[in-house]
Amino acid sequence: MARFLARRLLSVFISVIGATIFIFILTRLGPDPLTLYIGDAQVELSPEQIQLIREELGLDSSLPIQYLTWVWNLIQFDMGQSIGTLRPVSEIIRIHIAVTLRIAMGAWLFAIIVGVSMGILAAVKRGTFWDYVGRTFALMGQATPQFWSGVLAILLFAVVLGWFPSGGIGDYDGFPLAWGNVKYYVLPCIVLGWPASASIMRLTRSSMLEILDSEFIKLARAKGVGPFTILWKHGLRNAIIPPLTSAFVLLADYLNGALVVEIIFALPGIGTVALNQAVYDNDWPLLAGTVFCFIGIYVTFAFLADIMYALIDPRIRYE
Amino acid sequence: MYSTAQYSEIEQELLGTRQRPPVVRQVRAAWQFSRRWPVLPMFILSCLVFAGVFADQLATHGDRAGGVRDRHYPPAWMQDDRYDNLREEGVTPGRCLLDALLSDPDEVRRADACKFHLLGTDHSGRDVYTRMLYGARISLVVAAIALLSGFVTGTTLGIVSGYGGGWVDEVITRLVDIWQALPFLMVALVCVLIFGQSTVLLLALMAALAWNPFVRVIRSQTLTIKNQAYVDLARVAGCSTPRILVRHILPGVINTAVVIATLSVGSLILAEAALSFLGAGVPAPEATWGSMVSEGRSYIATAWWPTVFPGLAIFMVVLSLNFTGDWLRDRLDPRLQQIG
Repeated sequence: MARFLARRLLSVFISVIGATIFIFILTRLGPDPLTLYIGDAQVELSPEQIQLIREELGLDSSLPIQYLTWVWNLIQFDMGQSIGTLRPVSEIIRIHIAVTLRIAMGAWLFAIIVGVSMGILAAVKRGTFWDYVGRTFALMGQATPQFWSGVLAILLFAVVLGWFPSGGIGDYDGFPLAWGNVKYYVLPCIVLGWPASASIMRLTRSSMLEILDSEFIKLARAKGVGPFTILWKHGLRNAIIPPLTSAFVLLADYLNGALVVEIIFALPGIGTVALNQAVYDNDWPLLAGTVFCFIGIYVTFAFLADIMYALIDPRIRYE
Repeated sequence: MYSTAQYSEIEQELLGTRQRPPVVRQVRAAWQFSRRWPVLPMFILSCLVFAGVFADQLATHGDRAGGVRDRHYPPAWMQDDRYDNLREEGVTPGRCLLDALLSDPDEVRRADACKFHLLGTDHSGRDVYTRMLYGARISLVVAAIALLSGFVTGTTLGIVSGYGGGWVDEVITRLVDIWQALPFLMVALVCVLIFGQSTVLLLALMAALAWNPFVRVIRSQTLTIKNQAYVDLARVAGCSTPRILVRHILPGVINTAVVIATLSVGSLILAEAALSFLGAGVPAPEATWGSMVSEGRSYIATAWWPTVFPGLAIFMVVLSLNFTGDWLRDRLDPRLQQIG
C-alpha cells in the first residue's frame, strides 16, 4: 500500500507541475500584464517609472524565474496580489470559494441520494414501469445542457411559480441552514447535480443487477433470508461501491460545470470571479490562482478516489 | 372454472401461434423493430444532417435579417395581432413555408418570402427557425471535425503508447493526466482572451477536448492484443513495426474506437454549446444553438421561444446520439459496458 501511495503521489505531483506550467505559459501569452496595471492612469508615465513598476511586480526577470517565484510563493500560500483590485489573490479566492463549494457539495449530495435510490429502484423492479422511468431520467440527464436546464428551471420555478429566487445568494444573515439561505441554492444544486445523478443511477443499476444475479444472493434466498435483508444487507452493501467511488471523481468534475451554473444563477462563486475579473481583465495572478485552485481540487479528489478504489479492491494496488 | 376455449387461447399464447388481427400484428412488429433498431434516434439524427446540409433551401428568412421592429414574434401557432392581420389577408403558415421552400434561396435571404415566423423571432427580430437550421450546420461541422481529429490522434497515441511501452508510454499517459486535471472551460476562455474569438480557435479547442477519452481505453486494448501469439508471429516473420501497428493491432482496436467516438459525440456537442453559451464559440452574427440560448435567456420572462427551441434541439440530438452510442456499444463491443 505504501508503494502504491508513493507512486500515486508522484503522478499527482507531476500532473500539478505540468498543469501549472501550462497555465503559466498560457496566461503570459496574452497582452503585457503591465498595460492592465497602468491601465487608465491619467498621468503620463516615463519609461523609468514603467521600468520601476515592472521590477516591483517581478515582471523583469525571465519567464522560468517568474514561474519558480510564483511556485515558491504558492507553497507558502501566497498567490500574489490581484493586479486589477490590488487585493491578495488568496483572500479573493477564500471569500468566493465558499459559494462554489456549497453548490458543489449540495449538487453532489443531490446526485448521490437521487442517483443511488433511483438506481436501486430500477434494478429491483427491472423491466417494469419504474425501470423505464429511471432510465429515461438518466438518459435525459446526460443529454441536457446545464445552461439550458438552468434557464428553464428559472423560468418555471422562479418566474412562473415563484417558489425560488431566480439568482444571487441574498443577504439573509442567520442560521446557515435556514430556508432564507437554502432557497438560493436549491435550483443551482439540482441543475448541477442532475447529469451526475444520471450517471450514478446507471452505475448503481448495473452493479446492483450484477450482484442480485450472483450466487451468494441465490444462496441467501435459498436459506430463507427475507427479501428486505437480501436487498439492503447483501445486495446494496456490495453494489454501492462502484457508484460511490466514481462519485468522488464526479465531485471534482463539478467545478467545471459550476462555472456555467454560477453564471446563470448569478452566484458570486469562484467561477464568476475568474470569468469577470480574471479572464476579461487579464488579471494573471488572479487567473493563475483560480485555475490552480480548480486544478488542486480536481487532483485531490481524483487522488482520494484512487485510494478508495485501492482500499476496497486490493487488486488495483498491484497493477 | 375455465371453458375449453379459454384453455386453448392460453395454449396458443404460450406456443406463440395465436392469431391476432393484422393491425395489432403490424403494430407489434413495428414496436419490436423499434426496440431492436434505434429508429427514432436515427430519424432525429437524419433530420439534423438534412437540416444542416439543406439549411439554405429550408430557411424561410435570412439568418441575419430582421430589425427591432420584428422582435419577439411568437411561434406561428400562437396568438398575435400581427399574425391575425396576415390571416385576414388569407396567408397561412403552411402556404408561407411552401413559398419559401420553392423560391430561390438568395431571394429568401434578401426579401422575407414568408411573413410568418414558424418558431418566432428573437430579441432583434431574427427568425428562430432559420437560425436553428444554420446552427445545426455549425454543430455538425464542429462536432465532425473535432471527432475526426480526436479519433485519429487519440487512437494513434493509444496504440503507440500501448505498443511502445517504456518512456513513450510514460510521457503519453502523463499528458493525458495533466490534460484531465485542467479545467477545460477556464482554459478555453483564457485561449479566447489571448487569441481572440474565432472559428479556428473553437475547432482547435474542440479537437483538444476530443482526443482524451480514446487514449486510455485504446492503450489498454493494445496491451492485451500486443501479447497475442499472432503479433509475435508477425514480428518473427519480419514485419516492420509500422506494418504490425497498422495491419495487426489497428483492426483489433478499431471497433472500440468507433464505439467511443459515438459515445463522445454527444458530449462534444454539449461542450461546443457550452463554449458558445459562454461567448467562446463561433463569433457573433453566426447562429449557434448555444449562443441562441445565451442571447435569449435575458428575455426569458417575456419570450421563451428563442431559448427553449435551440436548447430542445441540443437535447434531442445529444439524446439520440447517446442512444445510438449505447446501441452500437451493445452490438459491437459488449465488454465496453463500463465506459458509459
